[in-house]
Amino acid sequence: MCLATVYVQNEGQKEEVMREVAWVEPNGSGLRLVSLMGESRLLQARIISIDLMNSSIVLQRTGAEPPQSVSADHRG
Amino acid sequence: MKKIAICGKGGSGKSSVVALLANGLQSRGCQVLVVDSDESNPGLCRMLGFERRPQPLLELIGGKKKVFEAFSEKSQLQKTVLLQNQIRTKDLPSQYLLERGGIRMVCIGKILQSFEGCACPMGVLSREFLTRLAPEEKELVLVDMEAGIEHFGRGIESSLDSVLVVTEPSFDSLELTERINTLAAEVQVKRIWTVLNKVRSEEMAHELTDQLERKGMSVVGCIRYDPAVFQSGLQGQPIRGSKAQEDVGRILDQLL
Repeated sequence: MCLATVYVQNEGQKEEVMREVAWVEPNGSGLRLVSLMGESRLLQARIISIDLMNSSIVLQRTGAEPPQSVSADHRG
Repeated sequence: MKKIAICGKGGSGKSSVVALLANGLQSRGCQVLVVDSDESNPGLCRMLGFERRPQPLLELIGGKKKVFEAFSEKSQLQKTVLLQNQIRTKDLPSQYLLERGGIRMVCIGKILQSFEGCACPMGVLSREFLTRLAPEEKELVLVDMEAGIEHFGRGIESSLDSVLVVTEPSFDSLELTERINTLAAEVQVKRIWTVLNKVRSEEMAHELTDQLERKGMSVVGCIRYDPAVFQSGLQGQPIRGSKAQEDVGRILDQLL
């Protein structure tokens, strides 16, 4: 599937941070992820790999997660 | 049984069976929501007696090209009904919902242009919408799936409780029916049925039923070949066919 699952690599383990990611853009020194259904998340991280065949993006944290001031997830 | 996917090989008659089921359910006093989850074929709305398609639900999240802008801080689309944990049919804005008697219809999205890209966003939206959709007490949801099995790869059936496989008299269709049964079982769909369609004789019905049942598949009924169904399809008219409708009535007796 073209929409990606984003993982953060941590000590050899991959932690899933978001599914159905439609957009990734630089945001300051980090990245902003937006899913097809409107979930939005800022991460202090850099891209390790983008695997388009397996719809997977792996990140590595570069700092603590910033406050999530931008969130469009209005579920419930 | 609240949410039923209608699957099968291309040309097996999925949309026709959806329209016949919807008409049959309506005549029994049920409220039906038909979800057009086929990104290609345009004709389901006409079979159901609507003159045009509803606006696609994909537009509620900004359309394929503008998902990112749609969820920016300033966008009004942030409050779209699709992001609710539970979506009721009545919550949907009127331009996205057609209604005729007891039948309502929504459309996920269609591929409209060359090179516009794949249908993955439609697949994800189908799954998310159907997962969050909370049918009313007397409401049944019929989902007209795209042909083939790609939707299983997208996990759409995980949001549904039943799968009805439409099988026409051909080797390919029988083979795909078996494959769909396996895939549906893998995602733990509760009920998986097969309905035979376009069957020209009782002997053919028996032969096909035997073949499928020997392999452990459940055949819930048989829809006879009905020239009126083909004629209405050829003319782009609402589906007709008293023989086929009668057969679908017997199938509904089994399903409900």
